[in-house]
Amino acid sequence: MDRPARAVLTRIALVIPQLIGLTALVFLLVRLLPGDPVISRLGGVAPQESIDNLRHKLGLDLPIHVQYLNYMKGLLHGDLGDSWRTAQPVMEDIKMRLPATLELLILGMGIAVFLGLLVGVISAGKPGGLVDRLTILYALLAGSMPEFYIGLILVFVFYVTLGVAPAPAGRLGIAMLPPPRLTGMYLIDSVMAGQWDTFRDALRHLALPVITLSFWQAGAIMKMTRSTMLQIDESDFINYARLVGVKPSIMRRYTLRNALPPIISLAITIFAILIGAVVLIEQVFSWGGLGQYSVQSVISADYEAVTGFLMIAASISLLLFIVMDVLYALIDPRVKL
Amino acid sequence: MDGVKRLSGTLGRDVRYLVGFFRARPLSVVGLVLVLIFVSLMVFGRSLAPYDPEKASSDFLFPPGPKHWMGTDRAGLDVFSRILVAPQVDLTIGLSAAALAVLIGTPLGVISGYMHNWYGSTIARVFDVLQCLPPFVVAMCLVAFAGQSVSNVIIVIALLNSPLFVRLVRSKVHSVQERKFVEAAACLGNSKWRIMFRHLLPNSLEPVLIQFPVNAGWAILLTSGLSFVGAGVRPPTPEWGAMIAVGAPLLVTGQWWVAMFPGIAVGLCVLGLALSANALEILLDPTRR
Repeated sequence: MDRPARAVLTRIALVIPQLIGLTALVFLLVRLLPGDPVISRLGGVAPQESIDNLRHKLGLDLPIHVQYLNYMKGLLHGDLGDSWRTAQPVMEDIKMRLPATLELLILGMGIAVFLGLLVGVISAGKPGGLVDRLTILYALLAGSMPEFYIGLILVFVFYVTLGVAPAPAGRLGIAMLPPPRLTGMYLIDSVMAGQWDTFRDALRHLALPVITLSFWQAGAIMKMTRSTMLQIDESDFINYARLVGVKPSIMRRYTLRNALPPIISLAITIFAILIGAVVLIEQVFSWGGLGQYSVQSVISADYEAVTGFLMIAASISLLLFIVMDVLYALIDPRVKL
Repeated sequence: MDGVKRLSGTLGRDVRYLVGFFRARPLSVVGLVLVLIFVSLMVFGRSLAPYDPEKASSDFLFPPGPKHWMGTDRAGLDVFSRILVAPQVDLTIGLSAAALAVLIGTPLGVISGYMHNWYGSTIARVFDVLQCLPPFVVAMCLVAFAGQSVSNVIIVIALLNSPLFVRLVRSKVHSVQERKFVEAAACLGNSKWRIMFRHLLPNSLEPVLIQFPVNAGWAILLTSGLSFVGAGVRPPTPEWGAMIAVGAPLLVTGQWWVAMFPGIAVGLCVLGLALSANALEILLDPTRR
C-alpha cells in the first residue's frame, strides 16, 4: 500500500475510538453537571410523584451507562432527544438553524483565508515595507479584541452613525420573506428561486457579521503566511531558483505552494475557533442560528439541546482536525503520521 | 552609562543589552508598560477610582464630560471608575487561569512526552479529544450550571486551556530528551521520574513562559465573552465584558461610551500581554540576540 493511502487509513482508523470517546465525554459532561434538570423544570414545590414521573420519562432514573447506550442508539438513528424549551426534537431544531450558522462560517472563513493569503504574500514580498508593518499592527490589534466587540464597533459605525448597514436584527429585513427552502442558506436559495430582492437583502444582512468574523482572524493567517513564506525564501531550492534566474512570479508560486502546509493547519484551527466565536457574533446580530440556540439552551438549562449541540459541534471539530492531519501528511512528504 | 559599566562583569553587559533591546523595539516597551499599568490597576484600581464603581447614582447616561470622564451608564455608574476596577476581576481571572493551566498541563506534557508507553500516548489522545470541544460553549455550560463565581470561571478556563500546554510541553520534551545531558543522566542511573522532573521539565519551560501571557490574554477574552452572554461573573461586579453587554443595547440609541470604552480597555490589556510575549520570545532565544 502506498504512503498516502496508508496515512489516510491510519488516521481514519483512529476516528471511531476518538468519536466514541468524544461522545462519552460530552454525555458525561452534561449529565454530571450540578443541578437537577427535573427539579429546575418542575419548580421546587412540585409533588414527589410528578418529579418521579418526569425523571422516569426522561430516563434519568436509569444507571448512567444505560442512559449513554440509549442515547448512542438514538444518535445512530438521528434522534437526539427532544428539547425541553422548544418541545421539538433536538435534531429538528439543529437542522433548522445549522444553515444560518454555516453561511456565516463559510463566508467568514473564505474571506479570512483569501485576505490572509493575499496580504500575507504581498507582505512577504517586501518585508519591512509599509504593507508589512501595517499588517503586523493590524494582526496584533484585531486578535486582541473580543470578536463581539468588533461586531459592535461595526454596528455602531455602519448602522448607527452612517446608516448604510441594516439593523443587527437577523438574517432578513422585517418585510422580507425567506426564499423557498433548498439548503437553508438564503444566498443560495434566493438565487435558485430567482428572488433577487431577497438575495440583496440577505447579502446586506450578512455583510457585517461576516466582516466581523473574517477581520477578526484574517490577521493570524496573514502573519502565518508571511512568516512561512519568508522562511521558505531562505531555503536552498529557492536560492537555487533565484541564482538560475527563474522569474519572480514563478518563484512566488513555488514558495506559496511549499508554504501551504502550516497555513492549512492554521486555517483549520481558525475554523474551529470561529465555530466557537460564531456563538457570540450570533448574539450581537440576533442571527437565529445554532450559536444563539446554544446560548438560549444553556441559559434555560435545556440539557438535551445542549448535549445535542455539543455532540454536533465537537464531532465537526474532530473531523476537521482529522482532515487537517491527513491533508498535512498528504501534502508534505516529510511528515509521518 | 558609566555607573552601568562599572557594575560587576556580566550584570553591566546584560543591562546594556536590555537597554539596547528596548530601544530597538518600541512595541516591546509599549507591551510591558501596558502590562504594568493593568497589573497596578489590579492592585490599586479601587483606590484610584474617583467614584464607587458599584454604587448607583442619579447621573444616568451622562456622555463623557468633566464630571464623568467616560460617561455613566443607565444606573448612573461611572464608566471610568468601573474600567479602573475591572482588572481586579478580569486580570485576576486571566492570570490565575493561565497559571493553573500551566500547572495542570506542564507535568502532564512532560510525562506524555517522555513516557513512550501506553499512558504517555493516552494522555495525548485524551487531550486531543478535549480540544475538540468548542471552548466557549463548554465554558458557558460549566459556569452556568456550576455557579457563576470567580473561582469557577478560573477553574473552567484553566481546564479548557490546559490541552494547549500539554501539547506544547510534549513537543518540547521530544526534542530536549535527545540531548546529551539527558542521556548522561540516564546512564548515571537516574530514575525516570527524576529525569523528567529534575532535567526535562526545567529545560522545557521556555515555550511555556512565552505562551503564558498569550494564554492569560485569551482567558481575559473568554471571560469577557462569558459575561457578555450573562454566564460569567455576576453584576454589579465591574468586569469589562459585562460592561460591554450593558452598553450593547445602548449603542443603537447613540450612547456609545458605555460599551466602547471597556472594549478599548480589554483590547489594550490583551495587546500588552501579546506584545510582552513577543518580547519574551526574542529575549529567551539566544540565537536572536
